Amino acid sequence: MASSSSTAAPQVYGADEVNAVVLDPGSFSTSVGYAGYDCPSMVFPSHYGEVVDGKGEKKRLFNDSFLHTSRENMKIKPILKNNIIIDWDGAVDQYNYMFKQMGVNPEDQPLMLTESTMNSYKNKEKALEVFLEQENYCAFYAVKQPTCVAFAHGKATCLVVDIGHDLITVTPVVDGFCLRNQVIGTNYAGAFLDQQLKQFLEDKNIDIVPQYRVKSKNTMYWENKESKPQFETKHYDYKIDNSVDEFSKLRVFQEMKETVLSCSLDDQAEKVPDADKDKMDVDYDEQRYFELPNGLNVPFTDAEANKIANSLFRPSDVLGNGIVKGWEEPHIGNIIETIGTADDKSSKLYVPLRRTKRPEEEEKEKDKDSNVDAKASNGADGSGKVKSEPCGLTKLVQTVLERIDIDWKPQLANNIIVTGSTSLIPELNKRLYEELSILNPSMKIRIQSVGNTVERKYSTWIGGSILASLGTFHQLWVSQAEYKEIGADRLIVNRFR
Amino acid sequence: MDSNDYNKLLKDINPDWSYKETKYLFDLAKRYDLRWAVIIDSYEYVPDEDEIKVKKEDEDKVDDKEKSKDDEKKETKTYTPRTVEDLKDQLYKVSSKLLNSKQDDGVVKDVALIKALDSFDKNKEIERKKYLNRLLHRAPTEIAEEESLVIEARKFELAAKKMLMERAQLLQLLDSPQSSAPIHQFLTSSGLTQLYNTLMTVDKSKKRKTEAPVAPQLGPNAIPYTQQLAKQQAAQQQAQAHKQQQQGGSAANSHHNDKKSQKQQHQQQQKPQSEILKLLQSRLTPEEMEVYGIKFHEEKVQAGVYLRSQKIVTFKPAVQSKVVEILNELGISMRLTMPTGAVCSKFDKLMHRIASLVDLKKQTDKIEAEVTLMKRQKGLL
Repeated sequence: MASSSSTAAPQVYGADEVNAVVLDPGSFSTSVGYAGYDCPSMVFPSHYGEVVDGKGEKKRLFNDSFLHTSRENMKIKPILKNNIIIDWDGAVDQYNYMFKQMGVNPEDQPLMLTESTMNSYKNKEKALEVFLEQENYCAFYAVKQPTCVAFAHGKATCLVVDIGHDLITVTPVVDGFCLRNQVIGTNYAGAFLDQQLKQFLEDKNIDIVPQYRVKSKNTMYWENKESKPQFETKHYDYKIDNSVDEFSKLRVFQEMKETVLSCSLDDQAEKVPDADKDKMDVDYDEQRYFELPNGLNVPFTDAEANKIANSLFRPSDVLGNGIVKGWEEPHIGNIIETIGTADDKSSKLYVPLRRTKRPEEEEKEKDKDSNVDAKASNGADGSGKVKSEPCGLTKLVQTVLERIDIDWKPQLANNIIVTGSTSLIPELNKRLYEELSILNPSMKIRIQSVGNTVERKYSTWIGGSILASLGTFHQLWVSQAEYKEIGADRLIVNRFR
Repeated sequence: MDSNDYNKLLKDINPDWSYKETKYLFDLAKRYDLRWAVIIDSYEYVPDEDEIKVKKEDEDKVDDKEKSKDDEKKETKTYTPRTVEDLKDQLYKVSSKLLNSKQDDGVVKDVALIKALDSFDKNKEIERKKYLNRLLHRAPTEIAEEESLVIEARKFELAAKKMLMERAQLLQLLDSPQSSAPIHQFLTSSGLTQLYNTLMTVDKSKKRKTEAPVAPQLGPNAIPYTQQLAKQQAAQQQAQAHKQQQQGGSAANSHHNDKKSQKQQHQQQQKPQSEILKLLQSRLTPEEMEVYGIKFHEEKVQAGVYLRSQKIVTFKPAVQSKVVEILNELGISMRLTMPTGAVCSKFDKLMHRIASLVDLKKQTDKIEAEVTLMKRQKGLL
């Protein structure tokens, strides 16, 4: 597969014959593979199924096939949330399962783990402990995800816009270093779109029935709220847990997002049906049908599809009318505060100072409408109150650009990288480019994103693979001996900031 | 060095900075290789309690600002968050002083570096960034304006260039007749026409040089190289002949010059003379040649049979009548009694001379008339 960031075999880079393992956990899926390859060998959903045996023992199940079939007494639990590992036991189990499948030998192969820029100190400590002590890897390194993306695209300095499932983050990367305190993000991402789709279907009185409940089906087109799908339910003796149902809905939503959604350049108001036009004259070409597992075909007009996709850019539109469940509180982009570990120690000294910085950051994130005035480097705006205006995608990028030092701004604006599976929505890049160009008439905006679907989804993993196979990287590995000698604390502060 | 040394030597650079903070800054700078973007991002220095106390006493500020969130102005906080310029300032100044003070270590002082460090001016840096900011945030109207101005400037440049070129061409044109020669002759109407004619011939000759059709060098119609050379030589000599014509000056002497040039041409030309001619010339003396009637025709000879008397030169009717008058005065008739070769050529010469005489007379008459006119105009000066 031709890829823009193809890596040669490790030997070419003068590295040893060591084949590092690259592990990239994400909110939706976790990818694993050997370094030097141009796509991960395995991609698992970041959930596991917990089954209680007859004996009362808990067993964990991973892998797509297991999770999407029904099982008695199975609960599906997430491993990561907001890109940060929350369930370490489950995580370790999953990774071991995957490594066993790949035939990884920890003592011989170093492990490279990708992490979010907002990963907490505790998590890093735990990671070091797990991988170097518990699993006995010979060496380990934790690299930030935006850095990986930057390297995957061949740029050392860029602005990484990662549109994932749980989060959208915008991270400036300078010379390969992520600027952690300039990261901005919101949770208006893939999951947000999922929820909107869910409410869309609920409004039409449609139930999503998971695949495993369907015995046989007949194709049926949804016309009005009374339409009922025609299918036969599979009956199970046991009760299937809710979490299993919810999890398989994720799959349906994923397909829906992939096939139906598309962004449009301008925010069309919902097409007001012409009073004169008869409803029968509705152009059927405008509607697309999506078939649910139970055979019901749900119509999506272009306007509706656009509306949902455009909510990434203007969440206020969607939130204004009806509350999207779970997203009631408008998110202004200060992701570090809400998700990240603002009060975490990253140096040995305790950091009370963070809180004083917050009001400044919040002030900067206020709604700044297009015509940009000259700004001082620290633009305090007077009131300490925060306007709760939800940040759309363009505004996120714009905010980062505004805050960044003027010396780097043109270079960053010229190298914006859009990555993440949710960014595969058609026209998204185009719209982002148009809006940014309007807001920054005098700057050269250039958006770069890989065309290849696989590469777009797994750029983080690919970047990690590239990094781990570089000859010059090998001096950066943290070996077990080093870990024992120096200790986790100093390592984290110095090496894995 | 420890904090005492620091307080002694370097504190006065910037009293706001403690030893610890400076050390922290240097550590960061070393770790991130002076990449300021990363340094400022990960700058998380926290002053110790006692430092804050000291500052509190020094500056006599009231609140402990780290706890309240309602502050608006930075200045009232005891610990001011550092900007990039602050960091750069401190680092460069301290380094410069340290480098300067390292005297007899055997290490050569890097004067250039110290100078560069010293030249960092915090305020200038802030100004520069403001300018850059403004530049980057120009409104589209400004950009459009600037672009249109640039286009206009370019247009002006082109126009100016064009004008200069035209001016040069004009000067060149005006320069062709030599201004050193008396120009009075060109002030009269006849003079002007004469000037025009000269210029035209000059122009024509020039053009002829450049527009000489080049024989095809390749292909079926190509002429062999030796013939090309011959053609080139012929063209050159014709040009030279014309040059000499012009150097002659007025049209009256043109015939003379014509003959002269022809003779010269003949001499210069290395015509491929036939062997017979060579033979004849070597064997016969000129008298013998005359006796035998051998004549070498240098001028173009018309094909066919004709009577020599038909080819006597004639002029325009006005000139012709005058010529006839003069002939009458001389007592020579128009019709030749014995039109032999020599007679005809001599007659030819005579006619040409008479014609030029007539011409001269005309001109002198004209000029005399104009002289009297001018005299009268100026009041018999």
